[in-house]
Amino acid sequence: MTAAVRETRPARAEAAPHGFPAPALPPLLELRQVEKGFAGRSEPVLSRLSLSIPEGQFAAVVGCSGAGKTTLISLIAGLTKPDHGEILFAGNPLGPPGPERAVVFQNYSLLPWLTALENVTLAVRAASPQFSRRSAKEHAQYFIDLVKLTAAINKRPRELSGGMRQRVALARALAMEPRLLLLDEPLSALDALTRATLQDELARIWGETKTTVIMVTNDIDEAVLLADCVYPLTRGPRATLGQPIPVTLPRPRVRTRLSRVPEYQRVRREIVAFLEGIKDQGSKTKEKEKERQATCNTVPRSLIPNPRLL
Amino acid sequence: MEQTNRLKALFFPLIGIASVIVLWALLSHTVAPDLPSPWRSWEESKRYVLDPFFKEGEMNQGIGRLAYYSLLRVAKGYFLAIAIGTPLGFLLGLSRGFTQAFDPLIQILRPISPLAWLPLGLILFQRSEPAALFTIAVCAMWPTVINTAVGVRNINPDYLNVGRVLRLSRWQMLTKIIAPATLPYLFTGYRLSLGIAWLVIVAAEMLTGAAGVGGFLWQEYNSLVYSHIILAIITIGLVGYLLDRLMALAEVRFQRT
Repeated sequence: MTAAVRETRPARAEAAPHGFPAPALPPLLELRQVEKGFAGRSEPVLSRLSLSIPEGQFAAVVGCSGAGKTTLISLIAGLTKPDHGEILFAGNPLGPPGPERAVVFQNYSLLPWLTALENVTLAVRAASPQFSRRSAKEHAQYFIDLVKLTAAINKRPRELSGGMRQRVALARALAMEPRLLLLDEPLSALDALTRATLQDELARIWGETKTTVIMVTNDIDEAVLLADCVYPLTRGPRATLGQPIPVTLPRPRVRTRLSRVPEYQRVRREIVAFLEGIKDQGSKTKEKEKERQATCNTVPRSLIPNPRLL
Repeated sequence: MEQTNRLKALFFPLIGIASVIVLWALLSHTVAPDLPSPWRSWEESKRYVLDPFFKEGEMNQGIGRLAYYSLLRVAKGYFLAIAIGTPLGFLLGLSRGFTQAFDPLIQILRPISPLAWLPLGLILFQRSEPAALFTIAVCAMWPTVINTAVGVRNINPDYLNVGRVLRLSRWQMLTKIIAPATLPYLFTGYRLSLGIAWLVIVAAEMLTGAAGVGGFLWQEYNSLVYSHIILAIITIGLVGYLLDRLMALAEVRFQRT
């Protein structure tokens, strides 16, 4: 049953050998000159931001903390509306939030009174009301197996470690069978080891599901490891996206060998240069720097290869 | 180590109780001759305690039977209170307009004493029993109302966002997300409400003369049997304490989930 559902989903752009924009396909998601501010702030968080994501791409938006990454995810999810500009999803104006654009929230947001299985089942039943109680549970079970949490299936979030909670959150999002999966700094709250393991898991799972993904992160190495294309975000306020940087590294990408690949170095340098560049610009005036108070993490966090992980 | 701690836990409260009894005895022998001594109180109350369910007329009954009547009355009034208070609390928590309309009124009604409500109840219902229930309900529901409202307002917005992404209907949002997330607050409200309901019962029974611990207390005061007043006071305290412990157990159970 589950397999049948999965096969009907559109295949990823196989024509593009390295996953970078397949020209023939229309973008699944398009942001045009989007601007978003919040009450009580003089300047908008995001301004004149345009973005185009083709179907099947793993896109990573990299930016400093406080640049407006979560705001961007909220806009794409439909949880907030832009002040100006438009957002198109599959060619149509973006509607209210829904399971076709599943979100993995930064702090997991699992419902603490439900077990791992119940959390995922709730999502299945909401996204696919046609399922019977039993087949919804089986469906949920499939995705819990996919994130390798079978042993903890009946535990409540309190009883799970951070990494395990994030697996449940990922299973819940995947179980909605979204056309677009939104990851809001999904691994930022985890320790380095768990983080590296989950990055590899994320790469494996994406290889199996081929869902279009937009992940925002402040970890450059995480972005280069996972994404087909990296979209660097300038610092807020008035944050906008720089030139997309395609990552043409072949998959599967092995963390330990990656650091020696020249292409990896090149992409990484390009992103760092962009982020460092805007950092210098930002420090021109002391006042503005104070106002921003954001930290830009360009130091590799997950790069340190750990052979024991592999 | 564990055993000495347990001994201490038993021993210290006993010291506290013993010292109060000594003080009581001293007072009754010196400055307050009308206050029956602990020994006399026990002698005169013995029958009510040792045979707690005897019945020899409307007001001459074992203390267990009297407490039972009071508890029954409290239960009715209390369930009325939470049946009205819970939905009211949810409405206050969910709707800004509702809060603006009714919050000032609630803040004014909340501090009104049961002694003030009871006559109004008697006018409204003409009979003492429904008036007593009305008084209990109207006094006891505020902690439930306020805690529920605070609980709803404090729901983690991420949970609501999850509900929005899942595109839950309003009803599903309430039953699957808002209600379970509010449950711990709700139970704190229920516990506080029960404490107040038990406080109110005494006043209600005293004024209406209904059979129960409070009614008994007032009647014995009028018949000058002061030792029975002490018996009634101790009973009220003990029952109130037990109710609170029971609710605390339920509360912990629900907070675990």
